[in-house]
Amino acid sequence: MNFIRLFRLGLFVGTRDFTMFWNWKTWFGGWMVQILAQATFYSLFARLFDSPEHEQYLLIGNAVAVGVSAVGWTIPSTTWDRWTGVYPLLVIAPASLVPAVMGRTFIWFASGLATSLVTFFVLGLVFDLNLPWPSTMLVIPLVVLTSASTFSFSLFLGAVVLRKSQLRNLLLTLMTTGVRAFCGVSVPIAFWPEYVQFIVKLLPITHGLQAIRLALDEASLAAILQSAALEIAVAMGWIIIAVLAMDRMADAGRKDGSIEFI
Amino acid sequence: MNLRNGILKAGRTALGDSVALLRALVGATRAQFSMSRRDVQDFVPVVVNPTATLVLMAVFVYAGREDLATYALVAPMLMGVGTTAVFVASEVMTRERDFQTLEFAIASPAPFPVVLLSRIMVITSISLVGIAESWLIIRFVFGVSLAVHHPWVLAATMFMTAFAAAGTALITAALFCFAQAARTFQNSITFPVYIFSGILVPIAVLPDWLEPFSRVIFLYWSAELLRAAIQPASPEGVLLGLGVMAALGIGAALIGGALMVRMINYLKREGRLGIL
Repeated sequence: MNFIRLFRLGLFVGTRDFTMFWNWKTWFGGWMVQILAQATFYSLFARLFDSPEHEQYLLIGNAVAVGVSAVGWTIPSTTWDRWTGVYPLLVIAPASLVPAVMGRTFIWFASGLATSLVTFFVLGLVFDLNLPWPSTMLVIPLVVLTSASTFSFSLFLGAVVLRKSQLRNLLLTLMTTGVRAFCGVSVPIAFWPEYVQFIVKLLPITHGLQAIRLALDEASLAAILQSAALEIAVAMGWIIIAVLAMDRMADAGRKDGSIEFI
Repeated sequence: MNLRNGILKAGRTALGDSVALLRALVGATRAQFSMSRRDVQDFVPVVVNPTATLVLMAVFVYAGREDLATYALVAPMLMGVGTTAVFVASEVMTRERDFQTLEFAIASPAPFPVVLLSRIMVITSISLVGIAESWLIIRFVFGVSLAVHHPWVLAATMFMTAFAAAGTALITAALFCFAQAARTFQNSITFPVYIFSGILVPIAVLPDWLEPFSRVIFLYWSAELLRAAIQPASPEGVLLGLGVMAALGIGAALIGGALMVRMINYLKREGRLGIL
């Protein structure tokens, strides 16, 4: 019960964080313009070598990848309590740091989910993507899944930047571009050496994006569910690691007296 | 005799002013080097550049089109320049204001816009390192060797790119510092500009009516010249391209400088300079 209450209060603060940046006008007129342009930029260059198939591949991959850059705001937002001086209060409170931070950053999960879904359907309409009915509807729960696993991973990186806050934007940008390079967004993961494939299979969106591609190719439900299950496993793994790391980072800060210093 | 003395005095004053200005420029540049060395934020585009190169080259190699490697060399660096200008260089003035050092900078006799321009130029120049990173990745990860056939064109274009980016960032630095509403613009401008300027996606895929807009973005000219500098064919329109970039950079710097002076005068007049 206490967890839910703290999470809800954190979410209240997070919602205020979000509305400081965006209202519905600026979200659609600013943020989504940038995001749609980003997905288009990383997809339309397939026209340099005149490959409509690869363009379709890139459009689907990038519609999911832009969600990563939105959910990724979780990483810098974990440090905002430090900037406002509230972090020491959170650390000395008798409750765990996890629900407060998770609640405050959860808004970026919602933002990423909306970003990805809007991008997917706008690009689908504009570039006439092949969206078979009804399997396209599976994209919605699968994007929820990719956003959730990205949130889990971002929360872990957020725990890291609790200690090294100067890395916040660097890690966000590296995660966004790294996912685009290696996780099946731009080329199939089989393109990369085996050791890279091993690592990317432990990262968010790799399996979820594969499930989305299978759904759009009208593959068997069993195959789609298998990829989705792997994505769920990745999400669960990262959320456990993130929860364990979060309080440990606070403990480490308490030990070396760096809590009040950014 | 009086006339001669007058000319000599005016000459000495002009020389003294020039020396003082030069000293301010050198001092500002050195100060920015020291600050950037300690701030990882200034190097984010440089760190990210290799992954952008990996994305583009992976697609080209996967499609069997290694011959398009020039695009993977040029586009990530120009994206780095754009990102640096909008997200790093534009924050210089805001940071001064947040740290309450803006007041000292304005109170000093050196012209503030000139000091800021030289500092921003240092920051935008950092992103030029990206082209070397991309070259190394293309060469050693993908085994594609790119020879620069026209090094002087490459060097001149890179210098002009940094200058035009710095001039443009002077406008955005003033806007972001004094107009909160411009922050939305900061988070929405880069990728539309990358598309319109054709640094990767061919201009031909855009509607015809957008082409005039492409030509007023320095990145368009920069991308064209940088790609031409790497091709064996003799590049055409080099002077025109460099001239347009210089004009765009000077024009932006003048607008940015005027905007900044106007905003500072407003803060002085309203007594709000020391107040955040």
